[in-house]
Amino acid sequence: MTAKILIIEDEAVIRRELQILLENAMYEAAAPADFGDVPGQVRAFAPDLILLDVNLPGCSGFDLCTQIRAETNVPVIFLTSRTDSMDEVNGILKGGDDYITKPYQAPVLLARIGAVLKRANGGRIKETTQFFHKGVKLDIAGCTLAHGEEQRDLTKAEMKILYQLFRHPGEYISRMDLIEYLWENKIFIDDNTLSVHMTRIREKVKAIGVSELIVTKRGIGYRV
Amino acid sequence: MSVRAFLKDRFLLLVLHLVCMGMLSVFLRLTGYNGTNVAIILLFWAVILAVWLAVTYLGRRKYFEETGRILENVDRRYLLGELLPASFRLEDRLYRDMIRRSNKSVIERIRQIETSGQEYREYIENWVHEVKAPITGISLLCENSRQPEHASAAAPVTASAADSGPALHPETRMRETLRAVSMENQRIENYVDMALYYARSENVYKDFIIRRTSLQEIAEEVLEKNRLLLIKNGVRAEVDCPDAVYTDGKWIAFILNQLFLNCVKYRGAQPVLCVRTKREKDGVCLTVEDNGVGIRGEELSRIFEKGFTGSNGRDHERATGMGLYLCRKLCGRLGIGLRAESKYGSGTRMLLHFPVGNFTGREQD
Repeated sequence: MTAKILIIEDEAVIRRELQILLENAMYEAAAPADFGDVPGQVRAFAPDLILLDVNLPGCSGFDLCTQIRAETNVPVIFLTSRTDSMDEVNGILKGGDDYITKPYQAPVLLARIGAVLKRANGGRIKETTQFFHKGVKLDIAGCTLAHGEEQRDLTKAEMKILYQLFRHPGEYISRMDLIEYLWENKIFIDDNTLSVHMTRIREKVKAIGVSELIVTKRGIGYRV
Repeated sequence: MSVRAFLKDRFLLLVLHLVCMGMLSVFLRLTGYNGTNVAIILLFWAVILAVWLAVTYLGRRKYFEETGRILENVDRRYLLGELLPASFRLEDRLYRDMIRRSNKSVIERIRQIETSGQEYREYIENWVHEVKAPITGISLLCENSRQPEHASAAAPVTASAADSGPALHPETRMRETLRAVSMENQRIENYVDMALYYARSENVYKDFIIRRTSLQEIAEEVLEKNRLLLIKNGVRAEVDCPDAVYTDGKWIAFILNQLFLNCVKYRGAQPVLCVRTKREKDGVCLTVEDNGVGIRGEELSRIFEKGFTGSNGRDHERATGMGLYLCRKLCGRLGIGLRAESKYGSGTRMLLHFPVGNFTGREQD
């Protein structure tokens, strides 16, 4: 089941891009351009989460939140360019679940949305935790790599690298993209360190008895 | 006010009395008074004059000493007109009136400047909030267009790789361009933030939420925000901040952002950035350490001054001389100690000291 997210945002570019971002992240997103009857839209769309801009033409997101709260308990995340602490307090007092200031980083935004949804649904929406490719099993929850009976534990960095490769089987992922992905996941490494991790991963792959799992293409990147 | 100066001021009066005394004695002598009587009259005259002068002197001295004391103790001296001690003298009252009128105009002028300064600050704050919308727009546009899912799978990339090399492929080029745009966008955001925090640094109290803050989370967030710049410069970072402190996260994020950007600006060959906390007996100490070019010993004491760029600022990237100045200022407002240690040529260490019970503690002692 995909979570449904309603975007209430008056800037057209941000509205459209947010919708694309959320759809890429496998959410179902709706972004009305008219804010005359937001509670009605909430009733019609029945979202699992609302992203609510604070400064809307003609009305305030805080007031809208109060109106929405009168009807339903759906989680609300405020998006705003105001960084006043009083605003933040206000947002939370009005029943917001989180408060994110512009300009937000896409990964941060997605992580916060994920966290709020998880909290609201009590973990109802589950992520895949196991990936299979060429007979190799990557277990995210257990942080292991297995082939047949053989199994090796992975470090966090190794796990994240393999996760990114396993998610896009057959696709080359450049070193740059891998490093960036790792930084987005709080592993702040440089190019050399990535090489070290790749070498360790290769050793582990060999140890579980797989000859060639990761293909390297010079100047392009890696793939599984 | 010395006696001498007072008498000098009354010089004409004294001369007048002496002349009168002289003329009176001449007149009395001519009309047949004997010398002793004249002497007695002159003596009385002199005594009365002396008493009069003494009383006047003491009165004046008291008046001016009190005025001086008021002037000394009041923090806004331009309000003197309102505070002058009451006086029955006409001159005092006239002066007081004039000082009052003069003060009034000064106060009006100050109010005017304060208002315009305040309006300007508010405008800057608003402007920053306005400009953040397009920055967000650009950031999301880049992010969405850079998503690997969008690059139509791996087929075209692999096909091109064999002959022309990756750098020339339009898709790869596009991704590089977007990465660069993202990075520049991040730089704009950093500069815009500086303007915002500069405008706000005057009255922080408006914008505080002191709460338990995880330094680990903040450091990671800031690193992640600047990831494109840091990755491009080959920075490796280590964050190990298990200690939490009571402070305002937003301000700390800004300060760390400045410190991290400096680490990138003045980096060495293989830049490593270490962020650590250590629990000390009177608080938590956060260190941001790099292995960059370092700061010359003679410049170390001046790096927090406004507009100071130093030899590093001239030799490396353009420095504004504002970053560290703002950091120090904000740290001061937050009650955090900020200092720098550096060995020229081998790195810099910035230490932020968060006292325990930052604000509540102050009330207790």
